[in-house]
Amino acid sequence: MENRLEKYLQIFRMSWQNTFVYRLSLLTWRLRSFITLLSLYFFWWAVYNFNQEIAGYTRDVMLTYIIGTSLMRSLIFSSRSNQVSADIAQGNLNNYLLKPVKYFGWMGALDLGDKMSDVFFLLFELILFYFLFKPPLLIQENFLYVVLFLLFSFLSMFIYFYLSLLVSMTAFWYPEHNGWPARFLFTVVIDFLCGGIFPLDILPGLIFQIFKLLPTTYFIFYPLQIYLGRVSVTNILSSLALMVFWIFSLNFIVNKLWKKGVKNYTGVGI
Amino acid sequence: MEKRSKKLYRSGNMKLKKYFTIWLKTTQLSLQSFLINRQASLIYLTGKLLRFTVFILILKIVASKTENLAGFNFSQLLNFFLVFNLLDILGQLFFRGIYWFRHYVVTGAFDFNLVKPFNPLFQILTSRTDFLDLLLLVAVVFLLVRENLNISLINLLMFLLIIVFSFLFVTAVHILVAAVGVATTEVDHVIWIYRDISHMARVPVDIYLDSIRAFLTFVIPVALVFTYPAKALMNLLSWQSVFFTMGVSLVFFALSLLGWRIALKKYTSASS
Repeated sequence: MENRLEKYLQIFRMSWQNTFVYRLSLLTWRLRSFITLLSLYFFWWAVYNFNQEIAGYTRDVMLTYIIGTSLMRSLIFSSRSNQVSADIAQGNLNNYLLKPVKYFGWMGALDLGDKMSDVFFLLFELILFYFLFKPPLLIQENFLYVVLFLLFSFLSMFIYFYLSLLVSMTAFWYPEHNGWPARFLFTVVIDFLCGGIFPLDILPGLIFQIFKLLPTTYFIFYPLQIYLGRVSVTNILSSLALMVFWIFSLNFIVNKLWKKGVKNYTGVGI
Repeated sequence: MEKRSKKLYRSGNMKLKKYFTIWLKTTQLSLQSFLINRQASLIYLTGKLLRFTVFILILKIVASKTENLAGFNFSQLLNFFLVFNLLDILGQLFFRGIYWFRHYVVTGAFDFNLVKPFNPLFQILTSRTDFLDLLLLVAVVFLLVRENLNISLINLLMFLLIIVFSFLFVTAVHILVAAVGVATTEVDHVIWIYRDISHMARVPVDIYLDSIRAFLTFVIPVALVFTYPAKALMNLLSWQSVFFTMGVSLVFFALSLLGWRIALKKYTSASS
């Protein structure tokens, strides 16, 4: 057991070290992430310069939400599962199928390394951001909400991982452009549905009710709503049940499709 | 003297014809690739249209939920967004090649561009024409025309003049990115940094804090390039601002060419 874990720990370390190989690339990547935060933050700051409250959000709540989105993006969307489609399309999957490791475990460990390094750098950026702009941050004082926020964030990572794997697995049947077209569409859709640009509950009621049922709501919007204390305990419990349902359903679909996909896989390109 | 100028005119004309023929050829090839990968193209196009529509929806929601956004109404916000898209799409449509440039530099394949008897910069920038953006461009132009049917002739002329110089600025940015690519092999993130910053101009820069607005006007002048043309369209811009934009674009263009020449001297042909 310990030996088995050691394997994945090594992959995790590898992923972490990989981040530091191309330093200029890393620097520019981080700069991009910082600019994205600045751009969103100042957009909403500007909106509140002319308005006291928008859809029940005061300036402080909205700006805390926007800063929170950058943390959630690093935590949830930093992922190597997008690499799976290229592995399938280019025939690199053979390497992994022959190794005494589970491919999803391998990807999961890489994912974790990626997330950790992303969050690590983001924390520095957020400290810099705080000292530069002194944003009006709301600190949640209710410990239960903080714990629930962490729990929901943790579970969201699984939902994203499985959903992202599903998208990558389309390359088994459609390997064109290394599976990038499906990934592109997925990214565009997720960007809107996750609440990374604005909180989803400012949308018209019916649309928001539909969005609430989708797994994408749990990537950014819902955990941050918990952090901000904007959801009741009963709502949290029903959402937790829905999240668990999504995790198990997606896990089931991913495993089924993977088996079918591997049968279909011909190792083209090797 | 007259003979000489005629000769120069003819050779200039021939050069232009040669470059146009090359561009036409690469565009044909891009079109073929677009048609061969029909499904992929369709998915990309859906994604792009979706992104475009979603942002308009966001603007609509923000406009409906707020009492005032720096004095701009939804129709005006839409104009700013459409003009931003017009220039952004034009940049991608014509200079899509920059997104593939890093590969040429790190593999040393750029050597082959250098030995060809036409400008390597032209080859890099125009090596691909993005037909996916062409359809989006049609949608943007259609909406722009629909939103500005009552525009006066003077505002239209002002808009057309400033848009030419804005596009010159966009061209300069792509040249600078290519120069940085030659000097450091870093292209992908640099072009995206520019695009991330320019995204701030999807809305009028007037809404931002003074310091941010100054940064977007004088340091990385995306305000001049994206916000000013939209203002010209809506009769909110003075001629002084038009001339200022023209001057800045020209200076920036000249600097980008200088940067390119300096970078080219430093090219080491790595990996070749």
